[in-house]
Amino acid sequence: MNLQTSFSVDSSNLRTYPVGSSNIPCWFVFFLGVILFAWPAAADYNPGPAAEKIDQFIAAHLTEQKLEASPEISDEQFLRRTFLAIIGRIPTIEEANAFLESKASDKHSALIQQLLANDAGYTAHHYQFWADLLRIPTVNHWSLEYRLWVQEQIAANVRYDEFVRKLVTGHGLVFDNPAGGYYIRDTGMPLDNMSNTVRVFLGTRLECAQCHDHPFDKWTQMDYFKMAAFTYGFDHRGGNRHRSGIHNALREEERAAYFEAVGEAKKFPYLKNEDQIDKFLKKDSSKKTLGQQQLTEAQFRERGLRGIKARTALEEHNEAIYGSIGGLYNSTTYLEVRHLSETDLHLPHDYQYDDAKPHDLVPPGTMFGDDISPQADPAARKKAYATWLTDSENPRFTRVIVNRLWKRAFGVGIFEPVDDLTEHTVITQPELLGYLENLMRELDFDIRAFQKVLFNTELFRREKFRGEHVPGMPFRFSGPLMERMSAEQIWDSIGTLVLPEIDTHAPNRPKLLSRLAEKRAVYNSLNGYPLAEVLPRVKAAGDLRREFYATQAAFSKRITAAYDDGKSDIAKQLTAELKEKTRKVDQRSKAIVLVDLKGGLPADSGMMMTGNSLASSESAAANDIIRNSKPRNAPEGLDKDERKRWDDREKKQFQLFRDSVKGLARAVDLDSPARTGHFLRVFGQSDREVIENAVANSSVPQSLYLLNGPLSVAIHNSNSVLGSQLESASTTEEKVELVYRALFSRKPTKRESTRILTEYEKYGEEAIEDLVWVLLNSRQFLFIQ
Amino acid sequence: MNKTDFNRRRFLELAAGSFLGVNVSSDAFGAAGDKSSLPPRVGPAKQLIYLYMAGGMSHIDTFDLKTGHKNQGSTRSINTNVDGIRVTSHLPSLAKHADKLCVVNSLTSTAGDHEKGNYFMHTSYDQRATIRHPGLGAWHQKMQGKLNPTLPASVFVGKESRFHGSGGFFEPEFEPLAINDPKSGLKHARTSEKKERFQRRLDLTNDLDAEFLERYHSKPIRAHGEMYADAVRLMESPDLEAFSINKEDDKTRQRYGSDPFGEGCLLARRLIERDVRTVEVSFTGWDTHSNNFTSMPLLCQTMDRAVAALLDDLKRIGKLDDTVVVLTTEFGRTPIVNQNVGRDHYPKAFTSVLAGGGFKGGYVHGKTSEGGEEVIENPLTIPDFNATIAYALGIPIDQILYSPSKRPFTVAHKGKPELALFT
Repeated sequence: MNLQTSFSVDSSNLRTYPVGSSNIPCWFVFFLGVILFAWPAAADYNPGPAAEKIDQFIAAHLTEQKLEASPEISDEQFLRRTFLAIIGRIPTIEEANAFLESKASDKHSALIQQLLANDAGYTAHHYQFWADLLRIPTVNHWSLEYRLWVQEQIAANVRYDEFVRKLVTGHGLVFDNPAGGYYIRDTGMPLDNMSNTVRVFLGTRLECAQCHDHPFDKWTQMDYFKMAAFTYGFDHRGGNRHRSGIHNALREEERAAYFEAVGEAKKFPYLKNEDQIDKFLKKDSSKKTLGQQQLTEAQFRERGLRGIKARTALEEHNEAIYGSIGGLYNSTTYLEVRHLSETDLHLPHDYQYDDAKPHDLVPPGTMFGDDISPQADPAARKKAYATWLTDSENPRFTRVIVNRLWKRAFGVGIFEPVDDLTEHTVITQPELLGYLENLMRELDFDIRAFQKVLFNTELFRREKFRGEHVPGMPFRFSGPLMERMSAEQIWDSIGTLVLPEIDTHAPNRPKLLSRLAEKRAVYNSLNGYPLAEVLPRVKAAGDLRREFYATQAAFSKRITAAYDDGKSDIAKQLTAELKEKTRKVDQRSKAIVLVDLKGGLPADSGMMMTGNSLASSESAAANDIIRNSKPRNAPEGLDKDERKRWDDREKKQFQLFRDSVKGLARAVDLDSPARTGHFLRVFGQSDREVIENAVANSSVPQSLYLLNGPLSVAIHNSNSVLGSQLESASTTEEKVELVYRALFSRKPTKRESTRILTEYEKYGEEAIEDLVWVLLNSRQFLFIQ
Repeated sequence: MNKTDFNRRRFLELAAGSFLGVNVSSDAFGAAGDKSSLPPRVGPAKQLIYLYMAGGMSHIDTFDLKTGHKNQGSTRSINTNVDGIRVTSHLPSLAKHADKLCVVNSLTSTAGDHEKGNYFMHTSYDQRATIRHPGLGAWHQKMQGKLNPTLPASVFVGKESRFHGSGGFFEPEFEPLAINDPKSGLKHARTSEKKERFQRRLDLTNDLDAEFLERYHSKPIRAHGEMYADAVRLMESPDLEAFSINKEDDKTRQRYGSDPFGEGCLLARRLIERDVRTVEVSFTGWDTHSNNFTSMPLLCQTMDRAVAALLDDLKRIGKLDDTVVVLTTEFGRTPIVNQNVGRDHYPKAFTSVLAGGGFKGGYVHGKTSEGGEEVIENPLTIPDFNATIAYALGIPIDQILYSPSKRPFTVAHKGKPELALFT
């Protein structure tokens, strides 16, 4: 592949994209509207001609390769495939019926359109793509605003180039501009951040060049450092402006105490300790100072000691305040991306090439294409760099995203790996790729419109490739590649079988929003008031801590004594008491300082919309089911023992159902990475540590989970979506069909239903439970046809 | 749908299946490194128990006591069964095992926050946002394969949602199996259905999938079937009991303690008995920024009981010589006590302990200054420490393996094993 050595940047084309609070004053309020926010841009875009064109490229390629296209799939397969591809879950029986029963000739296209316009479902699915690429963990408090913001960008279908520009220009406080999370994610690792940017958006691997010229590609270490210089001078740790202010104020008070004790002497030196007095007096220059002040050595020493004593006393007094600061501020670190002008990038000490020397200052420079004229202002520099990166003429920028989306639709990229473009990359269908790149540009980087085209191709409606695809060998696209569902797709599909309206069932959202509000309230309490107001509160917290010292010491003594006496139990009890008391002191300190929090909750909840505006977007149906669920009564006509057995089993299964639905919501509403051992992790969810770290390989723990875990019980339990449908079905045939429709979105074949009906004759209702278990454990459930 | 380096890895992934699949030979990326300047140890240990004190275990309050120095605070020392080795009074059982312990009091590092320190200790590499380095367990499996083909090669016992002794950039089957709660063992390993019904379901599954399998039988689909077969085999295998600490009698369970760490150590012993290569047990709570002296007794006693029981049992079952036991942490704690009667992070000088696996017992390596502030004798970096463990396990120190992005890595980065620690 030839990389264009230059691409023009038409300056008239430069778009402005203001960053900061004035632009999005209250972005999260906007976010809540997102569920209702329709996808307007390309809704009426007709994807037909472009889809046809793509199919022509594919057809020509297949002819050339003397290969045949795979046959067209059934409507049932198309339906399930399309749901999984666009909103990341299988359809409900009702959704399936609506499509399958439709006689409209354009119903395939209409389904694609309808699903692309399902903002909640689309966002839930597409977010996983971005969370995996951008490595967004939920456990860290800094990611709160960021991940909601990313979801908002997806829901609002912000054009791709703009989305990327917002990310790489992320700046300022996360409250004002959550995109800053893009840099905060890699706090302390600015060089890695650059490698990741280039890998994700330009499909190019630079990390080797961090330490030496790239051994397999043309990039030099200098290329790398010049790129890194664009964004290197940013600090991501700031945000608490009063933290250092408080320190400085206390130090200033200590200094003042010193001088006050010293007396009126104006030019008296600021001395740390007695040694320094000695040292000072030994210096020849001290004579002059003493003369000016009209002091004898003894008088000087006495005054100095007075000052030191006064300051030390205050320092000791202040210790408790210093001790409080950490606890108060620690929950709001990493809040701001800001420029640090003094951190210019220099070459490493072991730089070994002739074009520069170790430790040389590196000026920013692009790795290919037009260079950017030097910008002194770091903000302007970062913007100019973002513009270069996301320019539609940047040969790699568009290429990489169209290939990623292609792979997402069809299982394999037109070139592979999708993020390691080199001189040696083989592109078997360059015309097709070129066409897609142009299409993306024509569509103004509208991601959904672009996918609409892909899903409307004949290729998307072909049977999956039946053969073995060997990695590294070209894939010919006679049909898409067979894939297992992602961990999230499986999880969300199971959710669909158990709870109604799963796309809008977001039980963890209120908690999330209140965390968000709390963080903001904490931040505002600490930094949003004048220092003159905050400082006395922090001091008061220090007073509390100081009072506590005596208690702490007394407890320590008693605990140590108890251990010494071999009375571990008493020691443990006292330790627990001390822990509780410590917790209370912390709590009271927070109550004093965090004035915007009342009783642990944000005082200004009016702005935080955790109540009404949310309710409108949440599924009541799912909550109703959870609330009203109950075990069934045993059927008539059982004897006492049978009845007991029946009830016991029902109770046990009901408990499994309750336990399962408690944590059931779409993956986007849950922590990610989920804890170890959670379904999502077992099935290969990314741990969000490195780019695209999700895997879809099979494993024994997965098999065990589906074989013996609670999910199949939760699915057929009478309270679940499928279970209640089974309850109201009148015939066995109907039940068998329901299970097939729910899990596979199709009716059973003759052979299948005969086989199960035979089971039913032998085992009765057990056979239906078995069937649910069997289909959940079958390959047809996990692999998308 | 997103797979890490799917193309590059896929062949191996599919060939190897997951943790019960085929073992992959050591040079899976087709890259044999330079010949080691130090030949691998002859007759190395075969297994590894890695006990991780998460949060930063105070050196000065455990194995590197400074009795008489003002930094010591109220921690008191006791004699051990080895002359000249003293430990905190809260490690009475380990004091009786000092003859088995190789105490390293001279670890030194610069990684002073938990995440980075933890990562560095587990991998010997700085944490980077572009790659995830494999931990010792993964390297161990990669280089030495499995001892028991039915069980996973490495197991992690702990609550962390992210742990750094991971499979890193190796294929998915090198990821340790994670057990959150040692009491419940391997999740979903048993069916609540009668055997006959379970079998009926399996048969029906295969029968109903038959048509699908006729059409589609690529490797991922075959691997799925193989994993099911392995899972069922495991369910029926006597080795499954390795995960059930409730098979132990009350007396044994009391010896280890009924807390998660004690139970984790007991589980580790059972897994090692069944020839799992590597078991890590994580024990959180050592981050004693405040109330250090009142928190340490309980932490130490919990650790003391479990580790002593573990050493006893390993000795009894004849596994101690073939099993390396590591007790480590991300950093030590400040020798000077802070305002909150606690100690803060201190990577400059700290302690870890080795036992079994060919290490000297009753031996103290390295020395810190009078107040425990700095290493004044035989400093050991973290990569050196890990190279020493790897060497004990017969892992070639200089063997280079390449990440999927073709970057070269070794088991302990540039660390060199400290041979003075071996008998």
